[in-house]
Amino acid sequence: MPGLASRRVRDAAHHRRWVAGAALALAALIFLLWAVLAQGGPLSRDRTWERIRAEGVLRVGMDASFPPFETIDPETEAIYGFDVDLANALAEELGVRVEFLNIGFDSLYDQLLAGRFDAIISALPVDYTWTEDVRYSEPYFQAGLVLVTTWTLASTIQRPEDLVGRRAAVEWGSEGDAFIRRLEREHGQVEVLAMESPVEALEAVRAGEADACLVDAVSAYQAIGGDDALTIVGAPLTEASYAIAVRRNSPVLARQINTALARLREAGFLDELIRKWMMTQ
Amino acid sequence: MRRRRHAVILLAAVLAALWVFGAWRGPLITIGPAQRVQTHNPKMGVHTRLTDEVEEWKIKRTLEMVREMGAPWIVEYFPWAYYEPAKGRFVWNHADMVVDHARAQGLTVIARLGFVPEWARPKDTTALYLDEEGYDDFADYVYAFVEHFRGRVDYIIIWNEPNLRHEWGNRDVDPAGYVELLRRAYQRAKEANPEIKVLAGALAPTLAPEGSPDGMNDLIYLQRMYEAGAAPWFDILAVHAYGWVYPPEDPPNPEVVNFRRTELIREIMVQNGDEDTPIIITEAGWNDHPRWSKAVRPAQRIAYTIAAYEWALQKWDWCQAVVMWAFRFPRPARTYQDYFTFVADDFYPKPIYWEVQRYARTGQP
Repeated sequence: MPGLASRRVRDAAHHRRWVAGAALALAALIFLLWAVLAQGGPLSRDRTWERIRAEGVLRVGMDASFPPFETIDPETEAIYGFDVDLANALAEELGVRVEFLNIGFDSLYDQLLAGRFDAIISALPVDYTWTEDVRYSEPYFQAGLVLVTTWTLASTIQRPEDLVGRRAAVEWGSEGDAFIRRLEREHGQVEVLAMESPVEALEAVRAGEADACLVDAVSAYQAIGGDDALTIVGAPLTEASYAIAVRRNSPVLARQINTALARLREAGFLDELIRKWMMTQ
Repeated sequence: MRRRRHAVILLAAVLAALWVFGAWRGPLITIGPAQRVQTHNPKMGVHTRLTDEVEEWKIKRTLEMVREMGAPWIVEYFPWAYYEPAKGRFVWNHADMVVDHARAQGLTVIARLGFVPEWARPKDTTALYLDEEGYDDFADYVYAFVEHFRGRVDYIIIWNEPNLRHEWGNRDVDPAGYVELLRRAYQRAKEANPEIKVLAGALAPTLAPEGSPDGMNDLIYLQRMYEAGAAPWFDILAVHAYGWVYPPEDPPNPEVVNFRRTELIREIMVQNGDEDTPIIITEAGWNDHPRWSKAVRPAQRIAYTIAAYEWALQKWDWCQAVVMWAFRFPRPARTYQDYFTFVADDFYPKPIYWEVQRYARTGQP
């Protein structure tokens, strides 16, 4: 029965083509549905972004009580600082202007979700427990712990473990204090100088009372800005990434902010802000 | 077909054996041997917030760490709605677990009672709403709690911060109404166990002006409580003594919320002939959130906390304990509240934990 056999072969080939075609059509349909319906899909709608474009205004929430990032000028009552400059530069990149709303820090997320403004730009540390509710931009500043020493000692103190057997200053009770206690448990004894503030810890290094200190990046930048004797060594020791937050249903706005941030970073603008607000104040 | 049936029977037998083995194996977490708190300062305490901590090992670990830190007192919340889901039906498993582990660690438990079940309040009210119709139901819960924990819990607090509108069920605050609630709860508590110590008040320190919609100044509220005849209905006054940005030695001032505001509360008690009634500070503390307007630096928080414990020990013979808010939360609050804690939610001790422990062991501030 050669005829029957060849017909079976033809039928099987036809069946395979049909299955492949159906699978392809189904995949295309799923992709189309995702692109149109899924938040963040290439064709998804973002009403916040549409409103920003239509009105030409980006509304930014911040708690203006955290210099050098944001604070209020008591004479003019204007908000100024690192984040204010950043928000203005971002808005310029997006082709809109900024409107600032001054809100208490603990209310920022709730007010964002309630729609009072479009984005939080307020030295906001990324908190992964919020990622079901908000989208974070790429971080624009690392505020975590850094290791600061003198240029003279920088060749021998490269990482926290190099502090074993040496003198290290920390702010008593701070994250640096917690870090050094853990370091001692894991690697050996450090002669710890517990100071009242990060400024005093840095001062102890400058005065030669400590070989190094562990302080937050902002305090370190502020100290180094006016002092050629001190330097930050190595990478940040803890993560405290400051980022911009928008609502989850603002995928286009999130993409636009990230694109603008990348351009600003590329142009050296973020480094310029660090110099302006932390190293020359 | 027969082979499949045999396989099913075999599988069922294995599962049954596993279940029996599991049931007979006994609890994984044991209470352990009785411990004693070693401390320089017997007035030290912390608020433990185990109310929503589900896993027993975490409850045990929390209370072990409290003991190791050197604090013999804890305040723990026992919400009425959790333990009496229907009128007269009590479910004490979780409360038993907390109390038994606390006692095994040598800790004295002060039980805060409140939080109204749905069946005891009108529809669409908050769990902090209790009108006079529900007072006897609450007093019954107090009776049941005190009776159940007789010999294990010797201190109870009736309600929390009734001088705040929010804590009074979003109603205008009512000192006389609170005194009536206190009276009924006190009488039922003493029926269950005459030795129980009933704490009243736990007033929120607030400068709210007369007629404020948010609440009533604690000093005014306490005076109104006395005027409403509160004195016979409590054995100890619970006080909340937050320091905000001020050091513990900051002098008392009616216009300032600080730690020594407690002395103004004490003055009112004395003025009302109640000088023999002691005080327990059931909430206090400092916060080191980097962005909160009422916070201090981490170094200040440590120094102020230790100094406050020492202040109560040296200068306030009428104050039996200072219970700091809060030892640990089961999960991050994601607000400034997280910066009140001594231990992170993953049990990692903050520097303040080690420093308070050092103080408890050496007596050195």
